[in-house]
Amino acid sequence: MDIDGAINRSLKDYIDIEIDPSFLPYTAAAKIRFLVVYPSCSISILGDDVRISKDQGLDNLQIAKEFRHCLYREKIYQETLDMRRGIVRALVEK
Amino acid sequence: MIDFPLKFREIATDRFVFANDAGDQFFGDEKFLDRYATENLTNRDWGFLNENGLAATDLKSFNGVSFLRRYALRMAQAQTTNYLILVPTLRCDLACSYCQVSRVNKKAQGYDWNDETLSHVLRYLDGLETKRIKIEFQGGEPTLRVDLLERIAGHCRKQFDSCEFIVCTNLQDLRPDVLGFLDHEDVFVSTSLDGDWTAHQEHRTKSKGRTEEFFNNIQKLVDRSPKGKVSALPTIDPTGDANLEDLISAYSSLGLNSIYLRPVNYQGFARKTFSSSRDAFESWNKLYFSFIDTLIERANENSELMVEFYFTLCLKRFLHAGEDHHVDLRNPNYFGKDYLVIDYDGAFYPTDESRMLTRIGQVDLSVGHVTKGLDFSKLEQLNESAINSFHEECIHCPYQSCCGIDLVDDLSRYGRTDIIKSESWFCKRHLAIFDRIASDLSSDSPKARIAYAKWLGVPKGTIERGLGAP
Repeated sequence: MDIDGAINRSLKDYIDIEIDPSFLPYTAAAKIRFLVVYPSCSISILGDDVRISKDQGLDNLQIAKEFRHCLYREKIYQETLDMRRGIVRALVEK
Repeated sequence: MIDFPLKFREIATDRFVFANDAGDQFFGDEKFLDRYATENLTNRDWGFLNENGLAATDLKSFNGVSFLRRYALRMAQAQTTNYLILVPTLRCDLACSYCQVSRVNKKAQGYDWNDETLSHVLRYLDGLETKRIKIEFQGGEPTLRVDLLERIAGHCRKQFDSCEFIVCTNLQDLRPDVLGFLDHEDVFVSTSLDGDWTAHQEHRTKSKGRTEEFFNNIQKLVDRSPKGKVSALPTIDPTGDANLEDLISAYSSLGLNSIYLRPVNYQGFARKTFSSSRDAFESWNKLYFSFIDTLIERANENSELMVEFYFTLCLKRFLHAGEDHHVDLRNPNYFGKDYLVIDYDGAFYPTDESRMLTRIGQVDLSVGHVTKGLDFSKLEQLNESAINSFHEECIHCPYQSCCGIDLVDDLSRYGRTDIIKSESWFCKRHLAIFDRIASDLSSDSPKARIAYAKWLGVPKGTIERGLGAP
């Protein structure tokens, strides 16, 4: 995902982030987590794009990175959940 | 090949700490993170993970089984009850400004164990399955009832193979009977020392005479005791102007080389007197890390060793499993398992802080009574949340395995446990400490690592820089 190229760096109080299709299943969960950390923002998911409306004082790059990290965390978590369950099972089952 | 799921956090520009559920950590950059999250790890990346036990062919392989063992060791094992906090009296001869236990006046009636409570406590001790017992006498001022301390200690010495008693005392009155009890080999003393004369007097002793009594008594006790028998800890108001150099000097002059720098605990009287301390995180952090910086400088200058207890505990937990003896920092942190509090009226509490919350009427956290036994249904309710392993925020935190959970602190500060964890005092405090440790361990500068080695007693003189991903 090329964040640098994907961010609309205009003076608008929102940024658009293009989401790689492999991350689309995790956008809803990432959105919830992101809004916990940045409650003043709002997020619209528009197809392959995510639009984050934000206070003008917030840095675009930082916001984009934070959202991307939320996506990463959700993807890693959901994709490894079965394995985590397996680890717990391996430890508690005879 | 499978990798053990990684969690990550940025600790400096383009520097991330990565950790798995077993608490294995390494450091890497944004590019490694991108490759990992987008499933584009290179052969070199896989080689790095595999060589360091961070990936395996499957869970039955050497790396897999090794990971499972480390994972299991990271979980605090609930032992049989072997640690009790006993409160034989709530009375105290001081009225400290940040008293955390809602004490009562020395002359108050009805705040000591009566004969019936004592006999039930002794019976409870008889029913414990453990061979080793650790008892912390809290108060009030427990030495006001040194007769009860003698009864309990005498009983335990017959009942258990090994005993350890800690008397948490203000050391205002070292009468011969008190001194006689404290002199026992299996008795340790924990007291409060807020710094120099002025600082201690301001918040605790109030008068010159009482301050003099305290400093004479602690000196007397230190002089006659083996090293390690007497420990002290200060309570610091995060919003105040504590003089940390004076604090170190006060401890050092008494031969004490460990300071547990505690913020005012948002409990008891402190809730009213220091209400601003509830959220004074930034000022606490500034003060705390300035203290850590001072100790790092001291360690590098080869000055007399001085450690900060809690930071060193966090450092140990960051580096390895098994440091689960501190009941405020472990996971899971199940209540009513290996330790319990018995209050002056015979009520059981899961922690010392929970009795304070109950006493001020915020929430009844008593979990039974010595006459009736434990309230297991209430314990079960509390214990449902006493684990961070499945918490919706903690599951994404690279420090999850070395951190803990403190529901009572959450209840005390916010009146509930379902707060946004990352905004809680507990989470912010520990994130800051673990971030600092991670940052120091991944730094090129050996300064902090030299100090860490000394604090941990590592003989080589330094700790190597943390593992770095390709």
